[in-house]
Amino acid sequence: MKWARSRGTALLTALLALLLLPGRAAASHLSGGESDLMGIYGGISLVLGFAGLLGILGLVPARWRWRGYRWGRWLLAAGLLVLIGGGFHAATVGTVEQRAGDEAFGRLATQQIVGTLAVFFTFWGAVYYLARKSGVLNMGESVKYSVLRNGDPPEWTAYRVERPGEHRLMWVPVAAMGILAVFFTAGVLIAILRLQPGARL
Amino acid sequence: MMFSNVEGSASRNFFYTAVIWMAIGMSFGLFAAVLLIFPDLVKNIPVLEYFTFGRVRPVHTNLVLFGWLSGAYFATLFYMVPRVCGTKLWSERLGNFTVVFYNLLMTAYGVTLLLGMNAGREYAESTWVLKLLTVVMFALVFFNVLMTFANRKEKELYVTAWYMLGAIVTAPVIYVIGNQFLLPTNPITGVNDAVVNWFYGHNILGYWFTPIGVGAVYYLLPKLTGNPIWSHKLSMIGFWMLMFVYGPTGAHHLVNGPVPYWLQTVAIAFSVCLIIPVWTVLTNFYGTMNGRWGAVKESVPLKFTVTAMVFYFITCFQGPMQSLRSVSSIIHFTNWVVGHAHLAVLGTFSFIMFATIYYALPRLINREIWSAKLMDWHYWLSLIGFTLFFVSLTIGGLVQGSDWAANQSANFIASVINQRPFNIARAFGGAMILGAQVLFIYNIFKTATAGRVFSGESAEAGSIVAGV
Repeated sequence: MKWARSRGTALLTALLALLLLPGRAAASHLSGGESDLMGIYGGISLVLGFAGLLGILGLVPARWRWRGYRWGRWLLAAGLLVLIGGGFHAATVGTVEQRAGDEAFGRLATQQIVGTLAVFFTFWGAVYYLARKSGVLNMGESVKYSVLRNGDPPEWTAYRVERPGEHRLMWVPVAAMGILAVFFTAGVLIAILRLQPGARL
Repeated sequence: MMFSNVEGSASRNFFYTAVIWMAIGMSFGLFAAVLLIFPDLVKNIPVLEYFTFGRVRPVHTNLVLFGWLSGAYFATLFYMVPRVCGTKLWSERLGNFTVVFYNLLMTAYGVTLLLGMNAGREYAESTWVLKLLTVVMFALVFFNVLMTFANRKEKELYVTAWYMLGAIVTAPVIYVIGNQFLLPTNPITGVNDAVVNWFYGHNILGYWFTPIGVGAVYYLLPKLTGNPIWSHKLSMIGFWMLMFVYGPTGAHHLVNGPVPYWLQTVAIAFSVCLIIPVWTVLTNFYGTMNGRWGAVKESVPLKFTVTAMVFYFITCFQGPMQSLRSVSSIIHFTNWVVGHAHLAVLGTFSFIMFATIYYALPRLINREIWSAKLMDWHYWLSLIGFTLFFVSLTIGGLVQGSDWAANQSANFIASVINQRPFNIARAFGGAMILGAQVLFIYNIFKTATAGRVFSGESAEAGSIVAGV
């Protein structure tokens, strides 16, 4: 009965249920009005999940590594919670216009999306599998030194020792990224919040 | 024999001709920007009156994307792939033949588009015959590179090799499918064609321009800093995530449009997921730069690389944000999108290519870059000009979107008039960028004709100068 407990069986069952028992769906020529909550929840979830993944894999600066190992799985779990909980919340937020749906359209839309994702996952899964099987997929760190010994002479800056205080230059790109990110976000928020009721979008 | 077999000649020749196409393509871009300020500039002037915005703009986009950036990318492939494979390029002769083929093709692009022969599809305006020849051009390059991989002595694949291979495998698929399987009759029409067009239009960025650009950064950073990349494992996560996540994002160009809702949602979700591959690159970038930040003060290639990383982050911060339906409803079709496109193609990938050329060309032609001062001017003029350019487009785009949302029919002309100061700022920024590239081309020319001899020992000598 091992097959009954395997992840593959669970995935296959879920897929079949999705295809055979689609929800109702409807189409409309109107656009706008739908909530972007899921996009925001998704972004937060990704950030938490990615930070957690880095921690679990030990891909953080040495002095933070123990924190990464300790908190990584919790960050990953938090990311998943935000994603699932956010999904429930977003689903309960009403849309501008409730439209009656039918199963036939729901089945068609489900088949379209499942078909597309199936082709997609199959292609990249096959590519990844072939890469692993051929032995070229090396996740070991030794390969990163190969570019330094390939005979192509490095720039003279490769031998330049950092002088005291120069490490602070790292904050220049950080500040630039932060300022630009705030600038773009603020601009968009101001534009959205200044919209008059009944604005044509 | 007609085509040279000298090692490095194909890469060098592609770099030389790519920068010429850059100057030509950017000149058309500046001309288009000026036409937005003075629409009747060339009215009733013989010959020039045919240089309308509708013809000039696609000449600009095609020459900078296929003439400049793709040409520089071919040069980068011919330079970096042999070095990560530990062997020579499979055929310099074939590479040099491809240089000639590419230059003739780009000339044909420019002439046909100026004559008004336009297929009407974004980034795929060229006629059917030229599209077939473009596929031939890509095939010539990719065959040469694949044979180099097949003959490699270095068995382990460094991350640059992965990115370059990924681009070679996926770009032809994107190009052929996105151009309606290169059929002359364009069987897919209407909204369906819009879906196919943007599958191509966005994924050519994600599967051709991004992998080569990021792969080049992974090669350049260790060479410029002396540090190995911080984590190979993280770089692999980033590569596979990019390959995996980028494909379904094309429909975010059609958000709020008459395309299936699920397609839009998939595109938005995967666009948000693109945060991850970008952060892997940035994490690796910061980790690799550890202990080497001082070098940025004295190295123009490193300045360009660091700046490109900033713009790469910003492009991929904007991208997920603007794919959201509420944001897209404001900024879609506005100048914001033009600014975003230039952040990617110019701010990120062109800056990476400037760094690559400054690094690779001395090693290809055995001459030091002629003028360090001109390199500095090139960098600062490009940065200041480009910042003015994309900031004015971003603010202008938000003003446009707000004007349109207020009341389209009454305010449309007002929205056009309101753009004037932003168009002027954008043209001014564009002029600065073009001026910077003129200095760059002059520096390259003087390097080729009068540069001091370069050798590997000069890196060691440089260490004495640096006081190591």
